[in-house]
Amino acid sequence: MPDRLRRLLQACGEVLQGAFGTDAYARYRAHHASHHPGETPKDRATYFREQQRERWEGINRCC
Amino acid sequence: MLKKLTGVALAAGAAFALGGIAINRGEPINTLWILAAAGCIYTLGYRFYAAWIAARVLACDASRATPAERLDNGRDYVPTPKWVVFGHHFAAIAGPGPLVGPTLAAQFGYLPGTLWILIGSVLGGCVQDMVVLFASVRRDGRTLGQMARDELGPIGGVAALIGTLAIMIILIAVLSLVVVNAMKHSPWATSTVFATIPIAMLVGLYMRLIRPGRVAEGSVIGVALLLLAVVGGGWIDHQPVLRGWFDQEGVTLAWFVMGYGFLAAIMPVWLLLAPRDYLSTFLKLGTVMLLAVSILLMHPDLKMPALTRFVDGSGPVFAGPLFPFVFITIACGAISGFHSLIASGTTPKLLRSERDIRLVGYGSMLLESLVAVMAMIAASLLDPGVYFAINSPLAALGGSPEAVVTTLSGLGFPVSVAQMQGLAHQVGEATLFARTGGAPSLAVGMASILSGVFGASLLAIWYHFAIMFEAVFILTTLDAGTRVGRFMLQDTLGALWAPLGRTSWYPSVLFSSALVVAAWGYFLYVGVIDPNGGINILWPLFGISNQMLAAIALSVMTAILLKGPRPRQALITALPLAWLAFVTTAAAWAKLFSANPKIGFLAGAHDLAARLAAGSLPAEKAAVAGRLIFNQQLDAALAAFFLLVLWVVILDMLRFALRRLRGAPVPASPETPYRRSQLPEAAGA
Repeated sequence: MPDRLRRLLQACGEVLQGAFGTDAYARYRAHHASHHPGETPKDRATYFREQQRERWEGINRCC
Repeated sequence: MLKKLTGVALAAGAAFALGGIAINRGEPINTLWILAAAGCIYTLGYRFYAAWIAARVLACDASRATPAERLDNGRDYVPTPKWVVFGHHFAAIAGPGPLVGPTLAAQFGYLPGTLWILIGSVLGGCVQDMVVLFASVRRDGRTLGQMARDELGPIGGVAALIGTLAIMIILIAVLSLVVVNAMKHSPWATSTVFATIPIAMLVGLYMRLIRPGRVAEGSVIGVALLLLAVVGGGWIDHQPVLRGWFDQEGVTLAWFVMGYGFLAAIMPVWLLLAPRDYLSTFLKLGTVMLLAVSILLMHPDLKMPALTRFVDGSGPVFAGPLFPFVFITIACGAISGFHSLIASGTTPKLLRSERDIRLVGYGSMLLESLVAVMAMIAASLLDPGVYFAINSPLAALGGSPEAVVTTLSGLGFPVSVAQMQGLAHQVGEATLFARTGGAPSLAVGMASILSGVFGASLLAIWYHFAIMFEAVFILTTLDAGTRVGRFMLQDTLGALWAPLGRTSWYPSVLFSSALVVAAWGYFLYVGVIDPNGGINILWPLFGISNQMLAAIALSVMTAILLKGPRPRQALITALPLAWLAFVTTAAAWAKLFSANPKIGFLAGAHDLAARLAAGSLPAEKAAVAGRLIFNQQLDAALAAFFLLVLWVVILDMLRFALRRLRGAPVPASPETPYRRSQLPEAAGA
């Protein structure tokens, strides 16, 4: 049972992360580490600036 | 075996709950019955129908690499855990639509709207979202417009583009009208809503300069400031001078909203748009959860009857009979064409496995449907007399508060001026008569639920919290929509003169933003000066345009399923499409050609012109009659245009379907070829 509870809480946390996009930078770092080893990744501020601009180029909110 | 048994138990539960609702006519129904019925129907839909569609119709294949894996670039294509995608997708589809529609549709009684929300979502809206998401995942995350072009040809593509732009304009107009109506002559609401703008900018500066990229921190600070603004609004309401500044006419507020929309569209996103969106997401999730828990704790009785006499079309909130108007009044919450744009936008580029399509596509829409059910509950637990007095334009019920209560009481919905004044005083408003648009009545409903849990002394705070919550929501849709409209317009204009298409060329930015704001601003302005409140014209138009977009999406999906190995299974989208085509055509037809001037646009324009010529209009209405007549004619043209686009796409699809069913060759569906997933999640599949 505690295991199920832990999984439930983890899922809730992930839903919140997805809603806010707070996981984006960590995911970028993971991608960078696996796909471009040896290169320097962007720092959080730079990544955030670029991602925020892109996020608003298309339809991402509904009625 | 166990699965079958739970299915039978759930079906029995749903039947029992709905049966309870049906049999207990005449005595009040408790909200728990509604929630129980909803829970059973959602679980049945998700466990059985959605599972069957995923496994048998779409043949979702967990071993197949998704675009997120194949095109992984760490930016928009990123393999993401399913619950994160769920949160992302739900935050994107959930807007103010499912809060407003059910509130208006409650004039028919709670039953028709609730049934449509439950059945429409399980068999229509959720299926649409899920199939569009699947189709886009199988096509490298292509958008609905691109898929329409690929599958149906250029006609479908153009229809999708025009449909999207049109729905955006009408949507922004009607939502901004909802906000303006909630702020009109309410210094508390107006000052609170205005305060959200500098608060959003502060949060934007914080996330940009002070603690770059710390979204959660910035949002928590912002939400705390927003709550402070709600309380501060109450303080301003008691200051004679300050109060006067924020006590504004509807027209003035409409100009402010237009100015705001224009500035938001041309300002850098990090300063206003993005932080406002974080705050709105925070409030959205928080308030929905708070409301759900409070409804469960309070489980009040519904005071609205199951069916009211207004099913005949004589309702004061908006004109038109139960059929077909309940089906276009509630679009979001049952089936929303706009979702097909989101489901073919960023979400398909995040899915890690095709196995997650059911949860993200079908599941998110179930949750949105539940939000609509809660809005219906909040409207139905008010005294029906109070509900109608808040939501009916004065002009629809006699012209003065006294006439309104007399008319309503005569119709069997007793209410008194003293009761309305008492309630207005409790929530800190000057009046609650004719506060059309749905926001004030939803706020009263929410406030009464929440204050039931947290104590009645806070009713005014909860009311203005609810208004602020809706306004933040709506302004987010407004500025994001204006911006998207601007991009789409620039895209189109760029074909005429290339520099206009450059999204960073400032003259083009200013020009196209002004054009988009002028388009929705026009409808907003006319809605505000219309003595009948404007909502009763704009909301049906919005419903028709949203259902038209849903029909376009379902047509494209039907074409895709028809190309598959088992064309008969295209019925899962063809049947909702047939129903939507039927109700949308019936509604658009009524709005066009009904001889009743309250329903038909043309009859309305004709009637106004006749009364203007005869000199029988009251002075305030005669002054704006010319503009109202033109507007009704324009609305008629728009409804006719939506109808035309709807049927062009459907006929295009039918032509294609006939070829396929006769065995004639059809162009192949451009699905990305199979590649085996290398992700660890796919290993077990």
